[in-house]
Formats: sequence, structure tokens, C-alpha cells
Amino acid sequence: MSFSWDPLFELLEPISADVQLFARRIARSNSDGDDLFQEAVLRAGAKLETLRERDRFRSWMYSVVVSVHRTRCRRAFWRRMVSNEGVPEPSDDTLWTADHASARRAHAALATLAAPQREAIVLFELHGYSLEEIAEIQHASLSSVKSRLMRGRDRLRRYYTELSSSPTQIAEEAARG
Amino acid sequence: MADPWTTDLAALDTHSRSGLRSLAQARAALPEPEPKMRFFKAHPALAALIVIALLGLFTPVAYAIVDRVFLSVDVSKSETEIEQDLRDQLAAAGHGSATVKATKTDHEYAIEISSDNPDLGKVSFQIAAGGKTYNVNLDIPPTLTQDQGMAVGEAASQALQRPNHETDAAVQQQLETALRAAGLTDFTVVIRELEVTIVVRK
Repeated sequence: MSFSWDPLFELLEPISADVQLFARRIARSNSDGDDLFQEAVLRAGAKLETLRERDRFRSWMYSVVVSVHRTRCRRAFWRRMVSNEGVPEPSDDTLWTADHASARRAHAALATLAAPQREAIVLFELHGYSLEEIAEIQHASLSSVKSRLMRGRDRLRRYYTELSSSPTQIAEEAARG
Repeated sequence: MADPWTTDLAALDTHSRSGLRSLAQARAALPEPEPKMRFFKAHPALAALIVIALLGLFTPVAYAIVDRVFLSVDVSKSETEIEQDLRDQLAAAGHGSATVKATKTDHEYAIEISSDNPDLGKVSFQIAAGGKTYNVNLDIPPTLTQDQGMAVGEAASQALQRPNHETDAAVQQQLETALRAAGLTDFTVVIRELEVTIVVRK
């Protein structure tokens, strides 16, 4: 049996833009998000056989992105532990121009959240997914998703409160990651 | 009153849409497919794989019922050790001419046994993997093609690596479908938790 990417891309075609947007929004920059998306596609190709119901491909694909995202977050953690270096600067230069200050602040704010909180906030606030759909994507209970959204919002609120009281310091911290 | 991050998230929404890569670009960046990807390679939870390939053309007349060959496989061993171990066991059972090929990738093993002796169609494997012992019983008539022999081996592999939530009956149905797709018409599949028996008559 020879392997082909065709079945995956046939399913992916109608939703690829949404999935790529999700990857970009939970990553630290557009280019990091593109890398995340690419890695997720690669993993999805290897795992497609485990998809039981084609109707659930959308949530399944989002789950793959979530899984790859968590793996990358763990890698970043260990890289920092081993090398004693900070998180690398986002490689997407356009993100750091003055024209995108607001988007940059959103990225920086989201970066302060734990990965599951960040995913839940992005799925809920930007992609309009319901709590039940997010629970399916994150393989979590409904109460966990609610908790993640609540804690994520609390954290964002603290971030913006601190930002308004000490904007320079927070911006520098955000830039350092 | 809107949350303080509402405006920023809206900006992020807009910014993330700029310069989206097309799906064709994503596809172009993917590695070329492997020329051959065995069915079971896509199953990361795989503990052990068995492929029985009977090479050569046989005449049913030459087929004689002999004692079943019992083979034990310890997947913690290296490829070379498994091959040698199986060769020794096969030789002890009177199948010294059989060839054995073991391939190991991460947690996956493919064990391919080839022989021009039709008696080798009756084989029982005892496979130690992951702290469990799996039993695989195969009866393959000498009239099977190599592809059909492979299909039986892959079906057995599929039974071994099934997800925990799948019932015996569900797995059995999947295997029967796969065997029928391989052109087999008369067979019996019995699945229990750690044991799979596939008897093919034609």
C-alpha cells in the first residue's frame, strides 16, 4: 500500500485557512504559526488512519494542532532549561513594527497564558467555537474548558492592568518573552 | 464594558490573516511520500507486527498436514537476535530453509518469514511485548498468493494493536472485511483479548 497525501488534503482543503489562522494565533508570530501548521499537517498525514469519522475531521485536525502546539511548548521549555537562554525572539519581523503594535500586544498577552488557556481563549474569542467544541478539540471536560477560559481571562486582565500601570516594563518583558 | 484585550485580539485577528500560505505551498514543503508504507506503520501504539509471506507456487497435492510450528518472539531483542532466534526455532521444527527478516523502527517490528515449504502455513506465534504476551495462530493454505499472505499477517497485526476501546466483535468485523478485500472467501477469525486466530481455507 503506497502512502499518499491526497486523502488528507482533500479533507483539509475546505478548512485549511481556519486551521492555519488558529496555528498563527496560538503561536508567537505568524511565521512560528506557519511552522506549527506545517508540522501539524505532517503529523496529521501520519495519523489520518486513526480518524474514525470523516465528519469530525475539523475538530480532529484542530486537535492535532493542539497536540503539536503542546509538544513545541514543552520543547521550548526544555530548550530554556538546558541552554539557560530565553525564548527565541519571534522570527516574524513584521510583527514588531509600530503598525502592528496592537497585534503584538495581543501576542505578548496570550504568551503569558498556559498553552491550554491560550488555545481555549483563541478558539472561543477569535474562532467562535462553543465550549463543547473546544472540549472536543482539547480532549478535555467541559468544566476544564470553562476553567481555562476563566483563568485565562483573569491572567489577561492582570496583564493589561499591569501594562497600564507600567507600560514600558511590561513591553520589555513581553519582547523578551 | 468590553474587555481591555478586545481591540488587541481584533488586531491579531487581522494581522494573522496577512500573507496566509496556500495549501499548495504547505503541500510543496512536505516530504515526498515513502514509496511503500505498510498498513501498520501508521499505528504508533504497535507492539509487534507479523507478516507471513509464502513465496513460490505450490500444488495442493504437495500439501501435507504436519504439526503446527510454534514460534516465540521477544520484541525487546534486536533485529539480528530476533532473526537468529526465529531461524533456530524454525530449523528445530524442520524448516531450516525458511528465511526470516525482522525490521525494527521505534516501537514497531515487522517480522517476515518466507518459505517454499507449504507446511509452514500453520504457525503459532507467542509474542512478548510491553509486559504482555500475545498469541497469534495462523493457518494459511499453500495456495495463497504472497499478497494474500501479507494481508493475513497485517490483519493479525491490526488485531494486536487495536485501540483499547474497540470490542473483539468490532475488530473481528474489520479483519474479515480486510481479508475479503484481499480476495479470500473462506476463513475464520477469532479474537480474544490477547489472542488472535485466523484460519484461511481459500
